[in-house]
Amino acid sequence: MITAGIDIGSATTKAVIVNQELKMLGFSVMPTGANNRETAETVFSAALDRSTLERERIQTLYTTGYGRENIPFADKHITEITCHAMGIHALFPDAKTIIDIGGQDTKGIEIDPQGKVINFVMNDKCAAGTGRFLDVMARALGMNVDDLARLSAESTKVIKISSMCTVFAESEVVSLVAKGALASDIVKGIHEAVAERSTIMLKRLKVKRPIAMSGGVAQNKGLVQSLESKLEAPIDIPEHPQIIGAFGAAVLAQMAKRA
Amino acid sequence: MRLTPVPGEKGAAMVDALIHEIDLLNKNRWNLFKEIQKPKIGWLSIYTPEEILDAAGLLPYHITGEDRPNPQKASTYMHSNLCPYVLSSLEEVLDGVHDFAEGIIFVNACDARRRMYDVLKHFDRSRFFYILDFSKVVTINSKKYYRQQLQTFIQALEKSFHFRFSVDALHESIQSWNETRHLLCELYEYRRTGNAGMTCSQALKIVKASMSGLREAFNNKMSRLLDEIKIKSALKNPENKYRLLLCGSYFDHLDIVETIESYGAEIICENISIGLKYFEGEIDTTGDPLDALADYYLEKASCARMIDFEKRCKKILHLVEHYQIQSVFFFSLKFCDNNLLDFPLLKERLNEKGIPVFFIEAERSIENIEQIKTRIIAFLESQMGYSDANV
Repeated sequence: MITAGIDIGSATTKAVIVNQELKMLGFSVMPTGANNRETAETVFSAALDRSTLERERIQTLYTTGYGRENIPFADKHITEITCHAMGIHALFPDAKTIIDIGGQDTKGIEIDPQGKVINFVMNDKCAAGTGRFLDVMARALGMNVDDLARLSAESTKVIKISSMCTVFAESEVVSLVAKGALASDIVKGIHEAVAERSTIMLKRLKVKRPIAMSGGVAQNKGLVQSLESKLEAPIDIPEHPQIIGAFGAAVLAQMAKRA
Repeated sequence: MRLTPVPGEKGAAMVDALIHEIDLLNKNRWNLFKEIQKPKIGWLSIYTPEEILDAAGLLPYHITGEDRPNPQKASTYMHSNLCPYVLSSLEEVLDGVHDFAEGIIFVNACDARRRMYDVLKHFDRSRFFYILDFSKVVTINSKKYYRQQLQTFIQALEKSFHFRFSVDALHESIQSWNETRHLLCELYEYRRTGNAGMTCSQALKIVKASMSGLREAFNNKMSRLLDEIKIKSALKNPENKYRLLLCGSYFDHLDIVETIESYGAEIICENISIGLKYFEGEIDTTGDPLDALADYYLEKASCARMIDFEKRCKKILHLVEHYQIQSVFFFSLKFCDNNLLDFPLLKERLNEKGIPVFFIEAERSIENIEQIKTRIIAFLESQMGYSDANV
């Protein structure tokens, strides 16, 4: 039995094809853009191509993410909170706490031994501390967001970024550049600021180990190190953290078929 | 569209038509007011003794701020980080929505209302703006003090509106308001047993209409609605849905209610100012009416501005049991310090009893509704499961 999950996020759309052993047969990621229906169709086709499967082989398709309700060919839509919980549980069955930093929000999720959500917290004020925050800071430094992790590793001292507002933090970074601060130290400071904000939010939950992380920002090793240091605990990162929501949706579709 | 259902029309259609009629009392109130030859006076707090205003020959009505959900001008006069409900209400006044009214009555219920009174009193000296002081504690002395406040209030009304206070008129007004309270309590009892056949959105519309100032029309239509519900409830089995209690600050976010209902859950009771907090209890009609008003308004367990958290918490725990509630949804408008301080204490107490609590803090006009929808549905998925979350 083959199922699929599509996660239509604020920044990127992800599709994953899964078999009954919960093995990923193929996946695809692309920017969401202005038309999330078209993007979902395209990313789904790309995932099918990579899995070398025909569309007819997909028995059930679940959608998740902000655009989940806009996809007409879905069998069901489930929130990304539930999907990330199940996606992480399928890969790290012992995980009790999940950090998910996506394009425009950060979530902390507490799960039970079956992967069911017990409690969750989510940023509700602004996008500070999310993937978007890192995009803006990278732009202010004139670099690509993918360069942040590498630069952060070269840092010899942390420069504190005190503004938590994205706009003010950007001004602060520009000022630091003008003063001649090293880009690597500024980047480390940015990671520390994001980690600080995420940790404060997470502490509204009962943070229990093991901790796992999903979402595109988990690909940034520098940020993960800052988070591990603040939480004083190691964090498990999946091989492809960006697609965990879509993977969780496909896993939930498998579970529904089995029930 | 026919707005007056004929007797004999069956079932839900009749109930829906009557609810629609009641809702129109609120929606059309500005036009309906033109037909009533009484001075109109607005109010902002459920602690306003409307009975005194009615006895003074005035028409008291609730200012909702709903005509101006995104205030702009109000920020010129008050900080933008104050209660969004009060800012919307001030915006309505600044935009002339309430120009027909003789004035506005305030109660010292919170800082935001107090500041709005200060602004209007300072910038508009032509109308009657009055603030009633109201204790945060309930003692024999605070009741005596409040009674004195009511007497001073009556004297101010006598002076401004040229009427002579009469105990008989006040008794009559109290009876009319008590009738509203009885009718709404009866409605909520039907909702508790699942026999009312109405949604939370409809219940909110009904309570708003009860505050619209058109009391006689409201009481008449409510009596007819309850008669229909009685007939209907005898014919149908109650629905078995996941039951939520709504608590917290001022709330009229129908899109949030629709999100909850779309998932198959139902808000069975609203312990908010356009809900139970407005109409709970009744005023004693046997003794001195001012003593009775002081007793009623001070003894209300409802608002987070009162010091006695234990009393408020006990009431919510009672509602959870009485309404067989499965989860509590606590909503707070931004910057509502009273409710934001109450929430962690209440959450702890409810969790001790095994009642899950879900919290949303938002503006009056919710621009980020998609994120809030995700949080609501994720909570319901965790409590109800996701097997029924069909497209």
